[in-house]
Amino acid sequence: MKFKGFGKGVPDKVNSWHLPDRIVKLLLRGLTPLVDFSPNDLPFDSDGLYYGVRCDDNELIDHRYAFNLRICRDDSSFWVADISGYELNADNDVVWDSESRLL
Amino acid sequence: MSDENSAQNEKNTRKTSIKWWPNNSLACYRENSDIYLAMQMGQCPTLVDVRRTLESVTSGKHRGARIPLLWRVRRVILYPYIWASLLRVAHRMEKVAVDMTSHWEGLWQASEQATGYFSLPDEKCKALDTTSFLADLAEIEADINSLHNQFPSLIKRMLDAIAISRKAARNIGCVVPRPSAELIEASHREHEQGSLLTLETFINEVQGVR
Repeated sequence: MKFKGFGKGVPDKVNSWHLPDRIVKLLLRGLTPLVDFSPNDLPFDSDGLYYGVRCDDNELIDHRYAFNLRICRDDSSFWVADISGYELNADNDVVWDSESRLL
Repeated sequence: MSDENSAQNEKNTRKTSIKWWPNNSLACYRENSDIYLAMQMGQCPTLVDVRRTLESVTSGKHRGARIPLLWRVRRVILYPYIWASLLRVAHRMEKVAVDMTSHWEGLWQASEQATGYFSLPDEKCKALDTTSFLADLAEIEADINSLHNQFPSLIKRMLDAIAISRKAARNIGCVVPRPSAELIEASHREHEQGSLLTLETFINEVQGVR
C-alpha cells in the first residue's frame, strides 16, 4: 500500500489558515502525486519522512508558499501526520507562517 | 585626458577587485514545475580578496597628487590598525561561511536526491546549528560596525553579506522541523484506529468549506 491517508486534524488545520483559494488549489494539486509514491521512493529515516509542496503565487509575483507534510512511516506504509506552511517574498522574508520560527 | 582615463581605470579596477564567492547559491527546484524552493546563501569576500584590495590601496599605486596630503598622513597612521581589523573580520567571515556551506551542501544533495521534493535526513538537521551561526554573524557584524567610516563601500558589502547570510540561515532553520514524539504517537493511533482520511476525503473537506 502506498499512501494511507491524512491525520484527522490536517484538513481543519489547513482551513484555519484561511489561505486564498488559488493557493489551496496549488496545494491540493501538489499533494496529488503523493498517492503515486511508494515509501521506498522517498528518503526517510527511522521516524518518518517529509513531503514538501512549494508553489508560486501568480497573483503576488515573486511570493512563494511552502508546505511541509510530516509523514510517519512503518514497515509497509506511510501517512501524513501533520502539515505546516509558510510564505516567502522575493527577498526571502517570511510574510506568513503557521509555526513559530527561529529568531 | 589619458590621465583621467587612467584614473578611471584604476578606480574601476579597485571597484571590481573584491569578488564574491561563486557557486554559493543553493537552490532546490524541479524543472518544468511550479513547485520549487530557492534559497541563497550569504556572500562573503574571501580573505584573499580583502587582502588584495587593501594591498592595492596601500601599495602606492594610487599615491600621487590626487591623494591629499592629509589623507596620506592619515593612511600611514591608521592603515595598519584598519588592515589588521579587517583581515581579522574577513578571516572569521570566511571560516563561518565555509562551515555553513558544508552544512548546506549536504542539505542540497539530500534535496536533489528527493527529485525536487525538499526532504532532509535527520543527521543533516542535527548538524545544522543555525543558532550558533546566527550568533557568529552578530559578533562579526559588531566587529565590522566598529570599523565605521573606514572603507565604507567594503564595509557595506560585508554588512550586506551578513544580512543575506542571516536571512538565509533563518529560512533554512525553519524548513527542518521534525515531528514530535507525541505527533508520531498520535498518527500511529489514528492509523491503528483506521481513522485516517484518504486524499479524496481530505480534498473534499478542505474544498467543502470554501
